Amino acid sequence: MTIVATPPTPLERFNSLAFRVLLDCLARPGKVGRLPPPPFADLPPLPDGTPPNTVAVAAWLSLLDQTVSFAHAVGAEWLPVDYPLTRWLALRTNARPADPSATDFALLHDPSGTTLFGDLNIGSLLEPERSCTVFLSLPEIVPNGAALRLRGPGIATTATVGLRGVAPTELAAIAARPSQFPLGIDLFLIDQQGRCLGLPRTTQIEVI
Amino acid sequence: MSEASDQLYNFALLDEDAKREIRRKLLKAVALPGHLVPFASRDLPIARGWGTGGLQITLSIVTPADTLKVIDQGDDESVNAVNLRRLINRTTGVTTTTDTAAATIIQTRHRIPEEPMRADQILVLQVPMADPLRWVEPNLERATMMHSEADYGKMWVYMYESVVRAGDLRIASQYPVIVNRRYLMDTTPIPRWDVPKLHMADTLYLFGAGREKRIYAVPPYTIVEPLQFEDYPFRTEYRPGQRCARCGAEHTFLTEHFVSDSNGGRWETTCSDAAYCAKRVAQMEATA
Repeated sequence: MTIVATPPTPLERFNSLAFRVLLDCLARPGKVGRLPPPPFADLPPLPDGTPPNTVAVAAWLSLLDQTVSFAHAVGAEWLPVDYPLTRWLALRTNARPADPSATDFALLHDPSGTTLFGDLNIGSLLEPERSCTVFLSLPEIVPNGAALRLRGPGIATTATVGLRGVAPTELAAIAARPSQFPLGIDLFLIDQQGRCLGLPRTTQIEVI
Repeated sequence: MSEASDQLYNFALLDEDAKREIRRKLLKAVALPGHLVPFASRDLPIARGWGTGGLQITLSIVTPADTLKVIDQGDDESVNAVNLRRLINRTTGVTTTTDTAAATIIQTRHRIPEEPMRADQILVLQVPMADPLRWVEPNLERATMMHSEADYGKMWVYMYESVVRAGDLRIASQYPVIVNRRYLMDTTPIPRWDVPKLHMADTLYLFGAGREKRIYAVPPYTIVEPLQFEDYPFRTEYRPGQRCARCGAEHTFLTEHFVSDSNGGRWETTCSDAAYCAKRVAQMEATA
């Protein structure tokens, strides 16, 4: 049969493959997925001069367009609208940089961003889907490791996962993230190698 | 005509912005099992009400590596299934199959396949009527309010009245369920036979209502409880002694159809899942 469509561009291919990993990880918390290699590498640096986690940025960008807003943070500080990386993200996606309390998508470039969870929108009972989706970049996710024990929809009984380079207070902040079902934020943890862990608001998290 | 001029459409027909919007909504739907998430529902070359919700989900999640199966009432060969499959195939080039076990994405209208589905598969259901509260509350704003407050008293009264009037829970299909002990959800017109397959399943279920512009989901290993009473429990369509006339299966969902013969004709019951039935017949012929 004749194919009447163009094949996907490298960026479109990444977006669709990354989405399937994100969907699978969110539907099965505790399962560690592997994101495909990012389609670009020319990101402006963070304030301390280090490059951002490219695969985390690329996966996050795959969901952004002109209808949504975003905010991103290094350490415990939200980055300003005129910061070079903010402008690069806005130019690439047409998404609006916004105040964290009203933002649809947040990117936290390192685990100390967990202190900012309280700033984010958790949705309303009429529209719980309007809550923030948060991507958190961290050093390493260890499948079946022993940092967090997870329970809830998507998990047959319980699941455990290890997180390296995350302080005990940050683990506690992940476990205590705003999640009073049906309200709450939905979290994706992404490490430097492109491993991905989804933690929807339905997951009960316990620090081991 | 050159090959390039034949390529008139974006991969998977929808533009990238439309796909992105549906992807964002799918993630929220998975995080809120059973909750109706509004989405834009783009125009498609098929009319709304003919599977556009399921089709938009399939087009948004499909990748070139996928294997696709499309069924309509359990049948791969009905007009709706054939046309949807051809549209998806011509705009993506993905492999299509009729074998449930070989598919990675299955788009379906009103059935869940008989063969148990695996964790690496996704079932996309077409939804004609998204809100189960429609039966008791036609006003959408009020129904949304009732969902937000988990105020399902009217629905329980409807169930009670069904028992009082008919002597049993008189709901043939589209059976209402409570998902993750919170949201009331319409199961789409799948038969009651398929409802238990939603409970603690291995597979991710995605639901798309194109005409009503709603997406919802049931993640794997999620509690899905049909509405029932202690003395009037939920029951599937199983009849002791039932049997498929073609493959002899005794534990499948059967449909009845009229077969004319020289004696004037007779009613015959066969499996509704045609591919499963054909597979069983082929296996029996191979071993015989």
